[in-house]
This record gives sequence, structure tokens and C-alpha cells, in this order.
Amino acid sequence: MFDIIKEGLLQIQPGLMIWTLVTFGLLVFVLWRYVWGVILNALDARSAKISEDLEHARQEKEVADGLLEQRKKMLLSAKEESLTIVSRTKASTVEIKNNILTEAKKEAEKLLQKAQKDIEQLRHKAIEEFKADLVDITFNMTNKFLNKQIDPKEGERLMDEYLEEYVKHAK
Amino acid sequence: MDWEETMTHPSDNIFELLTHHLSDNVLVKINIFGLDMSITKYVVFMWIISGGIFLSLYILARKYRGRGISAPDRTMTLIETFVGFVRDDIVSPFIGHERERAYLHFFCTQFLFILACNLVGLIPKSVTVTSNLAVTMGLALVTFFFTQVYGMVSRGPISYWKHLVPDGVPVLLAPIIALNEFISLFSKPFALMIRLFANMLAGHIVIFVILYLVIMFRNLFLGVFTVPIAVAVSLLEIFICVLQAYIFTFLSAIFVGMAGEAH
Repeated sequence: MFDIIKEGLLQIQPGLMIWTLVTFGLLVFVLWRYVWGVILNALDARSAKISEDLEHARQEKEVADGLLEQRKKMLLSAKEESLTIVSRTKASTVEIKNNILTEAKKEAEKLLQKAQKDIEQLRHKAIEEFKADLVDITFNMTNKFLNKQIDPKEGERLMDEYLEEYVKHAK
Repeated sequence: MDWEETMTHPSDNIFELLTHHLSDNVLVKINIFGLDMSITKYVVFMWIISGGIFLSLYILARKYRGRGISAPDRTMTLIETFVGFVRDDIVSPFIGHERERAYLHFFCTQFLFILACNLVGLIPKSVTVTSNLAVTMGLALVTFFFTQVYGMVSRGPISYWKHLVPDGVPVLLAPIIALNEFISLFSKPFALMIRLFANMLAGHIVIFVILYLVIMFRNLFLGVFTVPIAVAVSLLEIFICVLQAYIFTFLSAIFVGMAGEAH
């Protein structure tokens, strides 16, 4: 049994060993000459491209971050500005409203005063006219009484007549 | 081996069958200066494997030329993963990042060749060339020569051979240390040779013996158990094929890297 193993399995054939050296050496050479160079160059090129793209992406990201920061600041500034404008507008609106109200009140007061004054004037004028009319009536009545002998009934009738005439005249 | 004879004396003939199964056959007899350089079954298989590796990688290289650096397809991804693995996990840690490119192709070829030789052996009717001691010796010798050349190129020939006796060693101890270091130069490739040979041989013997149990006990029913076990061992063998290729390349890179470094 051991002879079989010794002669078969553990026997080293120098020829086969040399063929192994030759075959493997040749394989190393042809793969080095025609294959690995191309593959490794392609890998290096892709690796360089990826690194370049990553660097480019990093730079782009930096720019984008800068822009984002800038936009954020602008947004914040615009927000603050808008808040200021809103508050200022609110204050201005209130002021305008108050002014309008004050003006309106003043105008209304003026109109009221003018109306009161006109009424007063008209009343005064009416009183004056009434007084004048009353004087005229009294004067006419007195004149008629003095010029005519009038009995009481006639006097009363005349009084009524003049009063009616006065009322008509007044209307 | 006669089948009838095997069936008559199964237990006596298992070693003969095994030897017959694993032994080499001369196909073309060649003799150069008294050295037997016959082309055998193992040599032919090595050529077929080498040719297959070259052809498939050459087609892939042409594809690389055509596609440039655009996105890789499946085969390109596979080879890139492989190259990346060999570079980052085997070559770079021991040879160094600066010099990895110059030596990467050697280790990639070594890994692929051993892996292909191991895996082809799992195909029925084929042979496992790495289960032959002469083949593993040849591969170990390549590592041995590569280690010496790399050491002498990296550190200079004088400095490299001077490292057999490290600085600071007492004079009396120097011969022993030198002898020890000198032996270790050969023991490393010897370990590579034996490890690959033994692992690939053992897997085949185990599968062979398990299947032979049916013949040995002359019971076909035994096949219900032995065949699934043989399948399981074959699956394990696939893993061992990859592992041994990795270990051989990994240890080669370590030895080469060690030769280039001062103590």
C-alpha cells in the first residue's frame, strides 16, 4: 500500500515540474503583456475619473452650500424686512385711520355747528319776520279799529278774519 | 484496472484504484538530454486551463478597450472585484501601496491559475493538477525565485543576503541563526508546496473513498447515504479550492513582502 502511494502520489516528476514552471511563466508573461495592463489601466482611469467626479461633486456641493447659505440669509433678511414693512404698514394704517376719524369728526362737528347756526339764523329770521308781520297786522288792525265804529261782534269777526289772513299769509 | 477484479477484491484494490485515478498518463513521450519531458495528461490540462484563462481575460481586455471607462458589465465587475480583492487584501498590505502595481499582475495570475486548476479538478473525468506534487513544487519554486529576486532588487543583493544574520546577533550565535534563516528560505516554499498538494489530494481521496464504500460493501442501498455525503464534501471542496488558492497567494505575498523588508 505504501509503495503504491510512494511511487504514485509522492513521486515528483521533474519534467512535469518544469512544464509547470514554463506554463505558469508563460501565462504570467502573456497576461502581463496583453491583459492585466489593459484592465489595470482601465481600473486606474476609472478610479481617477471617480476621484475627479467626487472632487468635482465636493466643489459643487461647497458652491451649493454657499448659495444655500446665501439664500437662507436673503430669506431671513426678506422675512425681517417684510415683518418690518407689515408692522410699519400696520402703524401707518392705524395712524391714517385715526387721522381720517379725527378729520371726519371735525368735519361732522363743523357741519353740525353750521347746521345749528343756519337753523338758529333761520329761526331768528322767522322770528324777525313774524315780529314784522305781527307789527304789520297789529298796525293794520289798530288802523281799522281806529277808522271804523265796530261793534264787539264785528270786532271779533274782524279779528278772526285777520287771523285767518295771517295764517294764509304765513303759509 | 479491471472492473471484475475490483468487484472480486474491493478492499485490496482501493489503493490501486486511487493511485490509478490520481496518477499521470504519458501522452507524448519526449526526452531532452536524458530528462523526461513527456507531455502528460496533467501538462495538457495545465495548457487547457492556461489557455482558457488567457482567452477569457483577453476577450475581457478587448471589451475594456472598447468600452473605455464607462460603467462595467457583470464580467467586468467580477474581474474588478477580484483584482480589487487581490490588490487591497493580499498585495498592498505586504508589498506596499507604492509598489503594488508592479507586482499585482503576478499575484492575480497566480491566484487565478491555482483557483482554476483546483476547480477544474471537480469536473468529472478531469484531473486536479494541483493534487500532483510536481505541479505544486513548480508553483512553490516560482514563489521562491520571485521572493529572492524581489528581496535582492528591493534591498540590494548584499543587504539581502546579509539579513541572514540580523544586526546585533552575538558572534557565537551567528552561524546557527544564519543556518536557521537559510533553511527558512526553503521551508517557506516547501510549506506552500505541501499545503496545496495535501489539501487538494485529501478532498479527492475523501470523495473517492465515500463513493467506494458502495463497491466495498457490495450494497447499492448504501448509495442513498454515500452519494449525498459525497455531494456535500464536493461542495466543501469548492470552498477549499478557493481557500487554498487564496492561502497560496496570500502566503506568497507575505514571503515576498518579508524578503523586501529589513529585520
